[in-house]
Amino acid sequence: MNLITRAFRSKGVIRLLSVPALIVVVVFFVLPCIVLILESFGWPEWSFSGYAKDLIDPTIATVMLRTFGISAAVTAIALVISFPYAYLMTQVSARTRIIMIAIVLIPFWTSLLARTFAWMVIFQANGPLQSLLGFFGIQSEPVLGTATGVLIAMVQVLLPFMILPLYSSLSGIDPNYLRAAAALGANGIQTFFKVYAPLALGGVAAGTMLVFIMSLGFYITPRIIGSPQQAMIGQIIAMRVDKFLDFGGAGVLSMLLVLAFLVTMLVLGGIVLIARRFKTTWK
Amino acid sequence: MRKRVVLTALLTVSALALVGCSQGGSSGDGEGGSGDTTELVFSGWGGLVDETLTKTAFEPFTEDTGISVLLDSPLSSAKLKSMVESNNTTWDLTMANPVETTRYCEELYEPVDMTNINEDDFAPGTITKCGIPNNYYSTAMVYDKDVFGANPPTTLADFFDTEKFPGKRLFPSDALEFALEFALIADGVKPEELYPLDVDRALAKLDTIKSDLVFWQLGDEQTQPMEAKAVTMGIAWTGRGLQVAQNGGSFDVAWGTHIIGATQFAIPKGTKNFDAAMSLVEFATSPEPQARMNELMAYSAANLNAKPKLDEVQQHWDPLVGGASFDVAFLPDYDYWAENLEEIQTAYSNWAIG
Repeated sequence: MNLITRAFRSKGVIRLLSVPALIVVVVFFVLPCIVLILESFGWPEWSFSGYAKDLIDPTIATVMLRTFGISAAVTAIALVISFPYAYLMTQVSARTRIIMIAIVLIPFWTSLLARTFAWMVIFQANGPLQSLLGFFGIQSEPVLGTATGVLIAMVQVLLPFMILPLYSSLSGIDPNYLRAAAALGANGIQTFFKVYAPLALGGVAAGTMLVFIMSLGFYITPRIIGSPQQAMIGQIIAMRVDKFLDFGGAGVLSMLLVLAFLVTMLVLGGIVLIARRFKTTWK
Repeated sequence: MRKRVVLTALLTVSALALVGCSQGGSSGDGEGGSGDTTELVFSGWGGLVDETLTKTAFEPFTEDTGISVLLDSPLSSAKLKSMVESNNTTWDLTMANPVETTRYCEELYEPVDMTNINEDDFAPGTITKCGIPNNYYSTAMVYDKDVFGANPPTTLADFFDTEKFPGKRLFPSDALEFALEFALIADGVKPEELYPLDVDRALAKLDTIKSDLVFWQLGDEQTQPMEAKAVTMGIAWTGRGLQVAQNGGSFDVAWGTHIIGATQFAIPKGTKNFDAAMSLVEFATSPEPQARMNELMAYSAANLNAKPKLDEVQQHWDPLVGGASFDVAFLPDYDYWAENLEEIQTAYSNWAIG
């Protein structure tokens, strides 16, 4: 035991430990990404025609906007649902907390495909959801094949990715801060926005980014729950790969998706920076 | 800390497994023919087709020749392309659509050896340079007998008449399932004048009923709405209609509205077991295994000499028996499709998702 600890203490050995992970990342992530980028430029030739064509394609623009719209909506709904849940998790007894974690994790461990098919069954015409609503006297159209269905299913699938980072950040907030705020005369709303929310921001940012990024790449859920009118960019990429064997064209769309995401983040980051500056000048 | 150790261990193990997977699979190193082949790798569409072929063709073939057939489904053309491009073809036999075997012949598939295959045993036009048909399927108008009673829809024009025949309609979301052909025939284009497809005219026709369409891509997306009575009619695979009928559903088919397609066996380019794979194709497309396949599946035997024993419901839904042969139905123009695949599928998909 002593020997092992001593061996690990030498920095060289510790660095060596990261080699397997590095190899995996390079071989299974970096290299394929480079190949994808090269192919998107028509490798072994060199051309921008793929990009030029897709950038002016109105259908691509529609689907790209739809993809960002659905992802933003999913992220917002997931945040609104998750925050109170994660907060509650920090307030309850240890035993209740375990039950609450289990409620989050059990669906998380169930295959995405199984959950999506379950939603398909629930949403189908004359299915459980319609019967349930009908029982309460509500006549409704089937949700299968609609944007509502896609949103509900995607939020459910992605909820754990919001709740877990939120919980880990909320559970680290020292309740003494809140007591101090109250003692200094802040009411509940003030305490929440001035003290609690800023401390929770890290978890909110982590969860929001995770859910948003994962939503952008969603394929199977909109494909099965939605109709073609809810198609997201992943479905067009899949069509190019599977049906046209057009890996270059798929690469173009993937790069455009990444670029669009980066631009969005830059713009959002810029807005936050400007807002902060204004705030400080007001003070 | 302990969690992190466990996580690291898990990641390492899965990484090793990945490395292992990418190394494995390449079996057999000889150049030769069936003589030294002991196993073939088949990649199909999975599900019922794989199960049936295993029973009717692969197991008897293994008994005869001693060559075992391993399944590596589901098939993906993208995966096949990667295999061929990296000179590492691990599949010896796959299923394919005639459009694919025409479009990617010699690029992804080996030309077939016609020495022991009699072209007259198969429907005209269904053998391509790189593919031998395994079965015929048909796509046709189906409708709910309970809904329309004594006045059912009979023509494709009826399919577009939402006043006389109200309700949601199943419709393919992929142009390769003949979405545009159906629209054009309904609009009065003669089957023999369909190609080249008038895409704009077809889409304009489809626009008139777009809000009533329920799009499908998979087989289950056809059976499930029919069984749940979420649709009153549809353009669907007759094989799936049969399945609904066998489960007690109230759907019937309007023969005469159908288009017949073929599915094929194809041999991936670069296989080291071409001769053995070809022997398996010859056996699987011979009358006896073909008849047994037809009896177990809702698809017609590709070999016209096959004599399947079908019950009444099966006969009614069979593209060649109930559909009364190729005189009524018509086969798509695979050469045209192979050449214009991307353009037409993109145009149709843009219409559907826009």
